[in-house]
Formats: sequence, C-alpha cells, structure tokens
Amino acid sequence: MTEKAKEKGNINYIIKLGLTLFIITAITAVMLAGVHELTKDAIAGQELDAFGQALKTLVPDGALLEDRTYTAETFKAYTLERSEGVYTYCIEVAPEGYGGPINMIVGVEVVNEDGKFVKRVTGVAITSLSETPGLGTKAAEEPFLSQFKGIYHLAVDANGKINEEPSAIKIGGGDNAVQAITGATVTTKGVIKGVRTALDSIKVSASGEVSFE
Amino acid sequence: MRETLKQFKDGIWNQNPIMVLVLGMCATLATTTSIVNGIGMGISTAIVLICSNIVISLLRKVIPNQIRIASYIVVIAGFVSAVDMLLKAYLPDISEALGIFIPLIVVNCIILARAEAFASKNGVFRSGIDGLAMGLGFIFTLLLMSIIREILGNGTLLSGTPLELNLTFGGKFEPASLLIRPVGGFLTLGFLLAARQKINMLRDKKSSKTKESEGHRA
Repeated sequence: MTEKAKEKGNINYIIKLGLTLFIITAITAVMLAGVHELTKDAIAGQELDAFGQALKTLVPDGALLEDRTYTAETFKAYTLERSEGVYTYCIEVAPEGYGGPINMIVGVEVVNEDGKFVKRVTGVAITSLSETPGLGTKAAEEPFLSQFKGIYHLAVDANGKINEEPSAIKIGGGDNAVQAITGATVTTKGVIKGVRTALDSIKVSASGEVSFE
Repeated sequence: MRETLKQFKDGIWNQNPIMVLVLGMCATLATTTSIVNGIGMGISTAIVLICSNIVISLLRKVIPNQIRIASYIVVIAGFVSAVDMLLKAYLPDISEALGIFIPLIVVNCIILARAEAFASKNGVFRSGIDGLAMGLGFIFTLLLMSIIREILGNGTLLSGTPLELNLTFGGKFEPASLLIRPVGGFLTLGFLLAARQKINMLRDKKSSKTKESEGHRA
C-alpha cells in the first residue's frame, strides 16, 4: 500500500472510532433525557415533601405565607401565620458539621415579655446531615434537639433599646445552654451555630416590627 | 441448565465478587453500617450490573477494541445516572442514606470487571445470568457484613425501618461503635474472608475423607 493510502486508511479508522463512541454516547444521552423527564416531577415533589414535613413538625398549626419569604446568603426565612397577627418564623440554615453541611430549620417566635421583645426558639428540625453514624447523627434526634426549645435572645429591652449583641448559647448546664453530644463536639457546635445564625437573622425594631434586612 | 447453575454457584460462593475477587471494596466498607443501606446498595449495584452486562454483550461485536473501556464506562454511567434519578424520585430515603455511593457505582470495579471479563465475550443470556449471579453474590456478602456490623456495632437490627429492633437490652449490651467505622469494616471483611476459606477447607477435607474410604472399599 502506498504511504498516502496507508495514511488515509488510518484516518478513516480513527474517524470510525470517534463516530462509534459518539453514537453510543448520543443514544445514552437520549435515554437519560427520557428518564430525567419521567422523574423530574416526582423528584421535585419529594424535595417539597421533606421540607413541608419539617415545617409541619415545627409549626403544626401554621400556614406558610408565600410572599413573606426572605433569602440571604447564610439563611432563608419563612413566615408562618398561626393566627391573626401571631407568627412563627422558620429559618433555614446550613452550618458546617463534621462531615459536611447540616441542613436544618429553626422555628423562632418574637414575644412581648413585660415590655421587652424576646426571640424564642420553638423548635429545631434537621432535614439532612452527613455526620458519623451513632455519634454525630444523634444531633438529629429528639433528646438533643429538644434542648433548644426555649433558647432565647433579648431583642429590645424594656426601654425600647435594641440589643446589638449577637446571640450566645453555652455548652454545659444553666440557662440558655445545651449539653453536647459525647464524642461529637464538632457536630454539636455546628447545630449551635445554626441556631445562633437563625436567631441573629431576625431584626426587631423598637416597636416590635420584625424584618430580615 | 448445568451451565447456569455453575454460574450461580460461582457468583455467590466460588467467585464471590467481594470475598474472592475482592472487588467493590469502597462501596462494601462504606455502606454496610446498616442492613437497610447494605441491601439498598446491593440491589442498586446488581440492577446496574445486569443492565450493563446485557447491553455490552449486545454491542460486543460493534464496539471496536481501542475504545472498548470508554464505551463500557459510558453505558455503565448511563445506567447509574438512571438508577440515581429513579431512587431520588421514588425511594428518597434510600437515596439519602446511600448518598454519594450511588454515583460511585460507576467506578465499582465489579461492573467494569464483569464487562471486560465476561459480557464482552459471551452471549446476551449468559451475560445477563452473570450479572444476576454476581449481583446476588454481592448482595449476599453485603447482607452478612451489615448484619454483623449493625448488631454488634450499633445494637440495632433493621434500623431505619418500621421493624427496627433495639438489642441493647436496656443498656446492658454496649455496642462496639468501632465496628461502624472504616476500621470495623476492614475487620469484619477480613474475618468473613477467613471464615469462607475455613468453610471451604472443611468441605475439602470432608470430601477427600469420603473419597479415601470409598477407595479402600474398592
């Protein structure tokens, strides 16, 4: 065979290889597009379900106000109305845990106590986490999470002065403190950070108006 | 029929992908921390294995030699992505639990190894059976490992299902959480491999003893 013919033969063969791979990949891509179409509604539904479940657990008697949602870099705030003028705010946060972000929702209400405005945690729900099974995963269980009910932070004092200090939650005993999970301090601190971010996200004016700006 | 039976015997015992071929270690060690996860992983991998074996066997005369590995990976990745989407849509709890290990099925050596060693050289029916047999062997080993690791390492049985049993006898049995960690995975696997060898040795001794006595009589 001449040099030129050999060269042409080689190029033809390489083109054939490329074409075969292209066809196999193209058919696979079409198949995948089909499965995607088939499942995308179900997948969206599942994600909505998980979130809806968490909201229902935190605020069983609340109705989500769609137009009062606020999105920021470190949190997303939802407003749920429990009755006329009574609101619970569900703040979605994702603090860093030991094995990745801890996706959680913190329920907070702003109450008037003797002329002061206080932010109180009504509950914490974990939607997903990648912590060590048996240790960090305990963070998603009731005994640990229920500790956060009642954790509070002063927003406006009795004289109408706004509290500029960020919230603080201690580890240990006493007021506004929680017990850490033995052997999972990083996970514990992650959840605490999430609750604090949620508390600090709510801005209360001297007259008790809530905003997230 | 005989051939098929041999394939199943090989897949589950003699050529068990985890205990003999020692493939798919990453998935094995990581997903056997609970029985539900182990079975979920096993079935997902088995489905991909059967589908990819069949398709690759169908295409074996069409795929040129130089691009065979690339083609196998495209086919395998395609099936894994499909399984991933189906799990997310219809079995979200299993999808959440297995997490990143579903996409990692693509590089699970078992699937590529069977594609290269069997499906590319055999007919569609045989390849499908091979996928099923190896898949069953994989599930079998994952089941054994996850039962051991979950009961001894977590003190529960079938945690994550409505049938969950707590076996700590009110705190009297303190589970060895070491078994839930990677080190525990290696330990359990090592012991399983040794146990399998021992069983084989005992069987061989028994059959050679019967052969001896038959020889004497003859």
